[in-house]
Amino acid sequence: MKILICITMLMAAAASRDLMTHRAASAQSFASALSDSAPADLADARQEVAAQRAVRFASVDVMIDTKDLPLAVYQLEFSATKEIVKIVGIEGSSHEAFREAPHYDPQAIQRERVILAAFNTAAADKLPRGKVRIATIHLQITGDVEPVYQVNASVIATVDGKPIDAAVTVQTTRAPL
Amino acid sequence: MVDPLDNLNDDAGDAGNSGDEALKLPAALVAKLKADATGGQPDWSRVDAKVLGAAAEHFASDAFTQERPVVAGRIGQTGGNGTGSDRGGWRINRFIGVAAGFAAAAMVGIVLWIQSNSPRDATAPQNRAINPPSTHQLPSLAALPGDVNGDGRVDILDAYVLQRRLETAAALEARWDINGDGRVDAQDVDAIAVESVKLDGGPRL
Repeated sequence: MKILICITMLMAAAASRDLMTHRAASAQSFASALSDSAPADLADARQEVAAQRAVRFASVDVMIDTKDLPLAVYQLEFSATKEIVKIVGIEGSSHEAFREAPHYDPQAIQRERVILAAFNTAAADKLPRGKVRIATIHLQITGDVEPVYQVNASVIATVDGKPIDAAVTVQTTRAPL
Repeated sequence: MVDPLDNLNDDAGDAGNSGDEALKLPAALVAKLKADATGGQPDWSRVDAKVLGAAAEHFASDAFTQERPVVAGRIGQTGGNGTGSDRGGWRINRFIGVAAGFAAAAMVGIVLWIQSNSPRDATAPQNRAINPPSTHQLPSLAALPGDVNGDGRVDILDAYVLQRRLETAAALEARWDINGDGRVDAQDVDAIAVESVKLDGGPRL
């Protein structure tokens, strides 16, 4: 009986030693596999996440081309791709007549849409003609996707409030900061 | 199976033995009851034949087959005995009743149509009572407080026009007092400009 018990214990010990050896080998191979592939994959993932979360700033100029007519009043709506664009600032025109920032809803800040409006009752010779940068909108852009901008003018008029047919465009003039 | 009539005399005899003579049935009655109960069964075939013969005779009679002309006096008369001619008259009466109903409905419709399409006389007293003149008018678009140029909307152009009116000392309207301070001035121009660029809900002037 004692001999049988001893033989059983020896067999159990041998089996457990083999199991431990096998587990150690498996863990070692898994660790080596990780050490070989993990750095590259993690780096790519980190870069991808960083690119998605990357925040950059851009400025968009709103241009109005009235050809040879003086611009006295305008109102337009600017919008950009939702979720990735936030308006952070609005600047007036390069022309003296509309130097001050136009009227806009303060709630447009941190949003992707804004209505701009301004007028000047000065004489026609003091109003801008042709293509002029009427306003600049500063944007915060998240991600590396290029936003889509849209602008629709509801009022563009010359002196005496007479509407004129003018072209309204947007253009990004400054590189991302 | 025991026939209860067989026990009539026996029961009567038992009752007589018990001293209750009133319960004893007369012998003639017992014999009659036995004869009725055990008598010959009716000849059902003869009964059926007789019923069928009577029915055939009835439906073959002139009163059933003859088509009598309908006269005005028949309308509404039923006869009470349910003969074939009465049923025919009932059908005609029903048809005429339905037709009369349709005619009445058509007349009502025509009258209503004529009334609805007839030109109304504004001076007629009944029309004034039904359609009294409205005492309040819907506000026109030009009546918007900030709609200075009267184009039906409030935008920066209204502010521009009002500003020019202020600068040229042109006539001003009280409804252009947007901020309600009792006068029309540059603050009202700014108020119109601010409202014209509102994002949510647009101008609320």
